[in-house]
Amino acid sequence: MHPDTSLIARCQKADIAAFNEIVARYKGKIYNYLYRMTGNAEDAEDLTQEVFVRMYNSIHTFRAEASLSTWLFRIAGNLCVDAFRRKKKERGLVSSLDAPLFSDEEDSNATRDVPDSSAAPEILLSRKELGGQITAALEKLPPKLRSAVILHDIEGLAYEEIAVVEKIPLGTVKSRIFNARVALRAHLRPYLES
Amino acid sequence: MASMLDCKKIQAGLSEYIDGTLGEAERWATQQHLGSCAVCAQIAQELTQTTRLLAFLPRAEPSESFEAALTARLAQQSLKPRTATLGERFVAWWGLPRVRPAVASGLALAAIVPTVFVLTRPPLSKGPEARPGVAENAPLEAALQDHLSATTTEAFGGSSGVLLASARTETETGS
Repeated sequence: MHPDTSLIARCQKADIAAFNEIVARYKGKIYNYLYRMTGNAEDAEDLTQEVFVRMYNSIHTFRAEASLSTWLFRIAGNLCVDAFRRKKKERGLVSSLDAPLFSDEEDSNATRDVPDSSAAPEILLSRKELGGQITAALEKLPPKLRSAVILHDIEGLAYEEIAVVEKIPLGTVKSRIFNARVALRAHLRPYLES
Repeated sequence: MASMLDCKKIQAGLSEYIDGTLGEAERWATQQHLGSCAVCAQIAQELTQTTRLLAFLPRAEPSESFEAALTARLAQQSLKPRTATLGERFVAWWGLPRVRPAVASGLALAAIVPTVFVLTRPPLSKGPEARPGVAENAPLEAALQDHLSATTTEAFGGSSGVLLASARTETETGS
């Protein structure tokens, strides 16, 4: 029996301790996914809370057809899509390399960090800096490709699980991951070993 | 030398090759191709490195006040998870794997049983042959016969106009 099964059953009977245990178990994974999707800590935290609020309100409808993890990622993905739509509408559909990232007013001056291929790789290769370049490359991907590659290469979900999360055929999952990697490769080429 | 078609096909499967999810035959074919095609081998190497770079990203963690904020957010709506409504319970029940076939079988049975009953029951005994309506019309038929014979015999007797006038009166009064 999956360790989540008894937790879900307890949670469905309004056991708050079980709910808290689920939150403790999955908040890191969901937050990291949302942080990589939005590129913003505040938005990621807000959306992660909303994921667990939604779970709390609809746990009685959960059936063991999918795993709890898959279900939570699906809720997170749907919330992300809604948030992107909202932000896009607020920004008046403007998107360019100089457009601010998915962010709040206070850090709206932050712009996309394009890798500087003229700089020597050894200078850029500090851990923090490379992390920033990878983050910037991820943010340039279309949300659908970004979600697939984050779920697979960062959160470690199998192709089949991503198909359930995104509600898309297995072949589409494979092509999205491939296309995302090809695009990332183009953005991160200066940092790849020759 | 590898053809362009081969390269296209191999590159489409490179992501799965890197993840180790290709079937045995495809994996072998890809390995053979990469051994002979420098372009595809370079792409495969770069895609592998790109995938490794993603693992390089540090994991982000929610703030320490996450649980407290979540508790406050939940407290705004209710103290307990909402229980399912009747409709939601029905939807959940309907979604169970054995429910739909069972309901379909029940409906089929409900349709078949009355049909079989009707088809196999003994025939009903015949009712009275003479219908009351026919008996009531009997004087009318007799009157019609009288009328026809009178018409034939009195056709040249100058009384046909009277008969026609009386027939019209009957029609108009509906008798």
